[in-house]
Amino acid sequence: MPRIELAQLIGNLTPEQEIFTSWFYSQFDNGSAAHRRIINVEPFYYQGAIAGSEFLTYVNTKLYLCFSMVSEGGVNANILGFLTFYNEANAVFYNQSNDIGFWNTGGVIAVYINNNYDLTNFYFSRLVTANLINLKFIGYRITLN
Amino acid sequence: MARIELNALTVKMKPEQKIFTAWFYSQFDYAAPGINRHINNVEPLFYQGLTAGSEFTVYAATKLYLCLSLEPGGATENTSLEYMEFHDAANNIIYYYSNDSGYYNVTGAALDYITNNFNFTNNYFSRIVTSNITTIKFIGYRITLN
Repeated sequence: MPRIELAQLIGNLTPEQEIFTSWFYSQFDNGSAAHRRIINVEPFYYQGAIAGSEFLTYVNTKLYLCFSMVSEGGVNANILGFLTFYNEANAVFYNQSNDIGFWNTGGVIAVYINNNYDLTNFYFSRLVTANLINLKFIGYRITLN
Repeated sequence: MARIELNALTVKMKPEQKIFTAWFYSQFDYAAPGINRHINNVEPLFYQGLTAGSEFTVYAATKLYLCLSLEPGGATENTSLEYMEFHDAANNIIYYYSNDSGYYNVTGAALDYITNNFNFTNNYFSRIVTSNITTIKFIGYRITLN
């Protein structure tokens, strides 16, 4: 998939998506020598297991421009369920969770129920998950030079 | 970035955003003589990162945020409630935000609060104060008044 110019990309976007996408291009397509030019913009949909997915792997030329990521619920575990997002420098800069916790007196331990959540309009290079098994992603895979 | 007129700003907006933005302009762009109520600059702004040290925590009399979407990042667990306060143009608290889950931790003999994400839309503020919310994502505009 070739590069998509910003003007084409924002043709039908919502105002929030336009602000986010314009900011993203200003950060990663400014033509500086610091590895900041967008080569490829690939529309990307994924629904399935987090384990083994490409979202777990850091590559310094790969970013995800995400319009919608829904972490799947239906998990009941003894540690908090969440996603950790890493930026282009592979540093943690955002988290997501949608848990309900309670104390299980029978098990003498905290129990956390992971619920679905639709996180919109953000970017990341990779993610790390705790207890979240599946996800759904809608957005673009970005390749920088 | 220059001033953006209301008609241009709301072209692609949803009805909720149009109502909110039109109200905002009616409050902060009526240009009464001697009153600091004229919009000079409207800058599209995206932010994703740490709350601490971000510009949103600082009050300035000529700065407001017209927010289309503000989302605290979750995944923290603390023994005090996680929340956010919004301050108005006069630096007074006008609104609170939280989306916590709580339970009693018998081993720790304390209440535990889990911060969860929530997408809070179409609000304005001059600054925020947070308790136990470490990251935020903002989409909207930074407004400069004269």
